[in-house]
Amino acid sequence: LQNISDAELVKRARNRQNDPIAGAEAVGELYDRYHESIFRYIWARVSDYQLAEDLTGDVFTRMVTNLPRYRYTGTPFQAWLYRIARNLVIDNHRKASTRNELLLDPEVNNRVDEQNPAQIAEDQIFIEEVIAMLKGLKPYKQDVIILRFIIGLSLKEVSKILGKTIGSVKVTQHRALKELRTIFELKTGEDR
Amino acid sequence: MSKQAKRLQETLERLEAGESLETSQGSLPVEELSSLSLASRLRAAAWPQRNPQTAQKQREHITALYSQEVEMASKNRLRLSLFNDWRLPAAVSAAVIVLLICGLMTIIGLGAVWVSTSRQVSLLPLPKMDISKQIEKDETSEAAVESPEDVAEPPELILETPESAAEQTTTLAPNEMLAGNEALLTNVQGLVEIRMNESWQAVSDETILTAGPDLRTGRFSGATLSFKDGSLAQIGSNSEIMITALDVDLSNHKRVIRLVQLSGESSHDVVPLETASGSYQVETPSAQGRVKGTQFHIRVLPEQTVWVVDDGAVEVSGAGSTERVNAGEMTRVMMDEAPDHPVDFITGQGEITAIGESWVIGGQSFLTHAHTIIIGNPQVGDLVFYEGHLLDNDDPVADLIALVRRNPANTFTLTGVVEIKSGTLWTVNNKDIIIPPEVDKGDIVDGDLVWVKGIVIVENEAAIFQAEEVRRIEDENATPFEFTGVVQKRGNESWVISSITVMININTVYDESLKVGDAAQVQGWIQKDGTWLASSIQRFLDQDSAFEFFGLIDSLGPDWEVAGIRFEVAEWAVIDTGLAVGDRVRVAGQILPNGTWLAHEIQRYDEPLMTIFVGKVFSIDPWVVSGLELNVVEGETIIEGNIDVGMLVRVEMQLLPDGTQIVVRISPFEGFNWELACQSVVVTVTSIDGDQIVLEGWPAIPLRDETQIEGEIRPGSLVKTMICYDDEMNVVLVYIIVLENPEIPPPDGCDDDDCDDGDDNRGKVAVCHKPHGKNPHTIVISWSAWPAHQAHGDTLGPCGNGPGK
Repeated sequence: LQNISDAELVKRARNRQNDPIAGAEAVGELYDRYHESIFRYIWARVSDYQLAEDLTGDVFTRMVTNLPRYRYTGTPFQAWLYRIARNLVIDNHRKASTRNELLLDPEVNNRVDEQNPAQIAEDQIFIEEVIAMLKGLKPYKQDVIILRFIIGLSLKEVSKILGKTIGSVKVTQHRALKELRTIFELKTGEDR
Repeated sequence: MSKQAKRLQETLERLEAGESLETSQGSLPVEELSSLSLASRLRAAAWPQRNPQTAQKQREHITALYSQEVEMASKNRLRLSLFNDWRLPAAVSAAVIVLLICGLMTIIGLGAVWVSTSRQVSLLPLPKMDISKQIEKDETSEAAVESPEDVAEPPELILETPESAAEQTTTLAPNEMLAGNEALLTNVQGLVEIRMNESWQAVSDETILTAGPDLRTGRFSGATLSFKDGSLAQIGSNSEIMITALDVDLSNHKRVIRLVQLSGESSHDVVPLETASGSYQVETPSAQGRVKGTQFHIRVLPEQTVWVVDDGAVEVSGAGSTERVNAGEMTRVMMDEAPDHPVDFITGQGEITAIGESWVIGGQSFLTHAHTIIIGNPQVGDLVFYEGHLLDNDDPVADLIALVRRNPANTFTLTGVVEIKSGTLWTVNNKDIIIPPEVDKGDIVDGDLVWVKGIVIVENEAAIFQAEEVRRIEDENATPFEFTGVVQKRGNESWVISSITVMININTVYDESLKVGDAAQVQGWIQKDGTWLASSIQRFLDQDSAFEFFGLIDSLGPDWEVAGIRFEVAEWAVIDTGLAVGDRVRVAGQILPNGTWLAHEIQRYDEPLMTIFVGKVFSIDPWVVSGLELNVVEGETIIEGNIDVGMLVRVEMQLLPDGTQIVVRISPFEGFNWELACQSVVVTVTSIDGDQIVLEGWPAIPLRDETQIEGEIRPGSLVKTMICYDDEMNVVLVYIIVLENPEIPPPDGCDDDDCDDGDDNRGKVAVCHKPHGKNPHTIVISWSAWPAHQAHGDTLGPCGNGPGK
C-alpha cells in the first residue's frame, strides 16, 4: 500500500460497502502515513504530550467518521487531516485555560541519537524555548512555523492546509521567523 | 512578495535540497542569516515522537471503528439524507433555477414526444394499512412484474437516460408500509404536482404513487420518493420525473424500479440487495447509466446530463460506450455522445480574492472556461459556492460559481425612532442616515419605530450611513414580513405560497395574472393572532429568492421557529448572541430550490436604540471602524477576542439619553473569514501622489520601495494588488499589477468622423460617477457609455483628481 497515492487510499476507504477489507487497510495506511506528523503538530500547539496523544487519536476517529462526507475540493487529503487537527486544537484552547507549562512524556525516550547526551540536552532546552516562544506568535504564524520547520512540509502543502496562497505563506514564514528570532534574541541573548 | 522573503525562501529551498547551511546561505544579508539559522535548527531538532504502544492501540481502534461504521452504514442507510450537500450551498439554488428553467423549456417538448402517452396514474391517499394485507398485495404485484431477466441478474440500480445507465448491489432496509408496486411521496415542499390525463394536480405529503405518474416540482419546491426496499429518490426544484416500472419483492430479493427524469435534479440513495435480482433504473433525455454506488446525483441540463457519484461507483453509458464513475468523480453525457472520461469532482465554498480567467476562492486558484456558469455576479470579497473538476495535472477548474453571500463589510443595521429631516435625510438614534430616492420608504412617518439596513460609505476618512432598505417595524399590533415563493393555491380569503398561508383582504394589492406555479413576492404584516396578512402579492421574475420577517421566537435552534415559521439556519448565519424564546427578532434568508427556508440572519430588534454595523477596523487606539470613530469606554464596552487592524468586526452601539452613542460590544465578525495575512484584490485606483496611493474603498496606503509595480498606475487604473499587513498591522501593498488603464480623453474639437467610427473601439475611460448627485466615486466605463453618464451629471476623469473634480 505504501506506493499508493492518498487519493486512491481515500477512494478505497470510501468504497467501504463494496470492499470493507480493502477499506480498512486503506484507513490503516492513512494512519501510518500521518499519525506522527499530526501528533507533532498538535504537540507543538498544545505543549502537552498526553493531550497531544489523545487529540491525535481524536483526529483519526473524526477522519473515519467523516470519510463518507469527505469530498475532494481541491485540497489534498493531508490538508484535510491537518484542518481537523487545527479545529481540535482550537476547540481545546477554548475549553481549557491556557497552558504555560511544557509537558513532555516522562516515560518515553524517543531520541534516536543516544550517543551525544550534551546534544540531547541542548536540543531539549531549545525545543522547550521554541515551544514557549511560539505562543507569542499569532496562531496563523505558529501554524506556518510548525508546519514548515517542525514538521517539514513544503510551501505548497502548507498553503493547501492553511487555505492561503503560496505567496502569503512565504511572506508569513519570513515574518514569523523574524519575530521568533527577535524573541529569542531578547530572551536568551543568543544570536541564532 | 518582499525581496527578503523571496530570498529567504530560495535559500530555504537550497537547504531543503540538501545543501549545508554554510553553502546555502550564500550572499544572504546578515539579518536573514539569523532567520535561516533558526529555520535550520528547527528542522534539525529532535522533536518528540509518539509512544509506539499508544500509536498502535489507536491504529487498532480506528480500523475497528471503520469496520463498525461499515456495519452501521448498512443498517442506517434509510437515515441518510441525500440533499445534505445541496442544502449547504444556498446559492446553488439560483444556478439550478437558471439552468433548469432553460432545460425545462427544451426538454418538456422533447419529453412530451418521448414519454409514452399510455401511462396509468395511480394517485392514492395514504391509507391506514393492514400490514398483512399489504404483504399479500406486495407479493401479488411482484409476481406480475417479474421477468426472466430480473431473476437472472444481481440486484442493481439502473438509472437510464438516453445515453447512460447505472447499477448497484447492497442490503435492504425495507419500508413495511408500502406494497412492492408503491412509492411514498414525502417531504413535499412548495408545489409538487402529478399529471392526470392531461392536467396537473397538486399532491400533498404522504401520497402513494404507483408506476406511471408524471411528477413535477415547481420553483422553490421538492419532494422525496421512497420505495419499499428503502431506496430514496429526492427530487429537486423545477424537475420532472416519473416511475415507469415499480416492483419490489423482498422475500425473493428482487427489485425493479425504473424512473425517467426529464429535467431538473435528483439525488438517489439506493439500498443495496445482497443476493437479489432486478434493477433500479432511471432514464433522462440524454443519458442512461447503471449504478454501482449507493449515493449519486443526476442533473439534467439541456442536451446533457451530469452524473456525480458520492459513494460507490456508477457505470454510465451512452452512444454505445460505458464509463465507470467512482465515488468522488463526475461525468457528463452530451446528447448522442459517449460519456466524458470521469474526472474528480470538486465542490466547496469560500471567499473570492481574485476574479478573472483564473479565480481565487478560499485561497485556492481555479481556472474557468467559456462554459463556466457564474451566478449572482459575485465580486471580490463575496462568499461563493463552487463546483468543478480537476484536470489531469490536478489544477482545479470551476464549472459553476454561485454567489452565496455578499461581503458583509461596511454594512449596518439600526433600529430606532425616525426623525425625518428631508426626503433624503433621516435621523435615527441620533445618527444621520442618507435615504437615496430609490429606497422604498412606504408609509413611514416621523416618530415611527423603524429598522434600517444599509452600507457605511467611507469618504474623506468619515463614515456616512446610507440606507438600502427601511421598514417600519411596528404597526400597532403587527410586524412586517416579506418573502418570495411559489404560489400553491389561490383563494378568495387566503393564498398558499411556499407552504405559508397568507390572508388577503380588500386592501391587498395582488397581480391578477398570478397562477399556481408562479413565483411571487409577498409583503404584509404578521397579525397579533399569528396570521400573515398580505398587503401585496406581486409576480417575481428574478431567479433568487429571499424572505424576511419579524416576530417572536417560538423555539430556538436547532429546530428554529419564529412567528410560527419553522426554518433551517445556514452554517455561516449571523445570529445575535443570547437570544431566548419570546425575544423579538428579524429573520432573513433564502428559500432553497427544494422549498426549505434557510435563515442567513437572526437579529434581535427589541432594543430600539441599538445600532449594529459590520466594518473593518482601521485603528484601535483610537477605535476607528470603517472610518467611524467609536466611543469606546473602558469598563463598559465589551471587546471580545483578539481584534487587530484590518479585521472585520461587528459593532453594537447604544444611544444614550444625552444623544451620544456608546459602544456596547465589539466582536470579531464570525462566519466570514477575513484573513489578516494577505489578500489579492482587483480594485480601481482613486488617486496616486507619488508616495501614497488611494484604492477605492481603502484608506490611503503608502507605496514602499519593496512594492513591485507592473505597468503605469493612473487614477482610474484597474489594478490587481496583494494587500498584506506588516508586523505593526499597517497595510502593505506587496505588488500592483495594472490590468486596465483609462484612456486619455479625446482632444477637444475631435469631429464625429474621427472619433466615432461606429465600432466605438476607443477603449475605456475613468469618470467620476455621481449617482443621484450623491457619493461620487470613480468608475471605468466604455466610451460608448460616456454620453449616457454625461447626461446624468458624471464628469470625465476620476473623482478628486483631474477634470472630474
